[in-house]
Amino acid sequence: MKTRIRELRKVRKMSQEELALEVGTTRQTITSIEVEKYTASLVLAYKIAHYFELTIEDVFNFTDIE
Amino acid sequence: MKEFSDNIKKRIIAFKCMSFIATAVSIYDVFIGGGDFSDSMVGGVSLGTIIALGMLAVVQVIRLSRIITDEKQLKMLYNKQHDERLKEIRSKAGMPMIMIMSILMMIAGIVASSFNDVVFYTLFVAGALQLVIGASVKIYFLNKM
Repeated sequence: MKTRIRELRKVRKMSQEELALEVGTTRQTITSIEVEKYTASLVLAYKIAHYFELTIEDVFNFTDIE
Repeated sequence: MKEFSDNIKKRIIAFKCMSFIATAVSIYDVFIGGGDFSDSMVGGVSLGTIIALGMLAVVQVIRLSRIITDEKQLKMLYNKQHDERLKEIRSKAGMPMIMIMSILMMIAGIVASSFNDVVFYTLFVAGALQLVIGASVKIYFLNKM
């Protein structure tokens, strides 16, 4: 699933590790989500979206599913 | 996080006990038993495993003792142990049941070595192979997911 996580991180000038610490996951999981190897659970997607003060739909692209 | 920190402290104590037991068994065999136990092939493999487990326990004690003093490292360890992706990978690799079963098989093998060498080798090799397969599956999914 395509996401805007990398783009949003760059805007805030934060590393994957920093984001991982904020949302309670590992750097490797953030990497996997960014390169579309892993699809985040609803809870993790919510935490990431909440951290960037956006909705889940703003961060994750659901057009493939639709 | 306080609860997790207490949990890590308990783990450090458990690993300390494990390393102490491994050291005691090794010292007993070499200095008191005169190497009688480790002279045989079965005894040697058993003692080698106990020493290896003891060394692993020492490494864990050092690692966890460092982590517990650093708040950031502690949070990273907490995240790693509660990470949903890693949980899924562990589940696909059959962990922790495969690890528990393998260790129990190896312990049973060491106990059975007093009665029959063939049973020891069978249980020991089967347990070790299970661990290798579990680790291989885990590495595969770590790269794939």
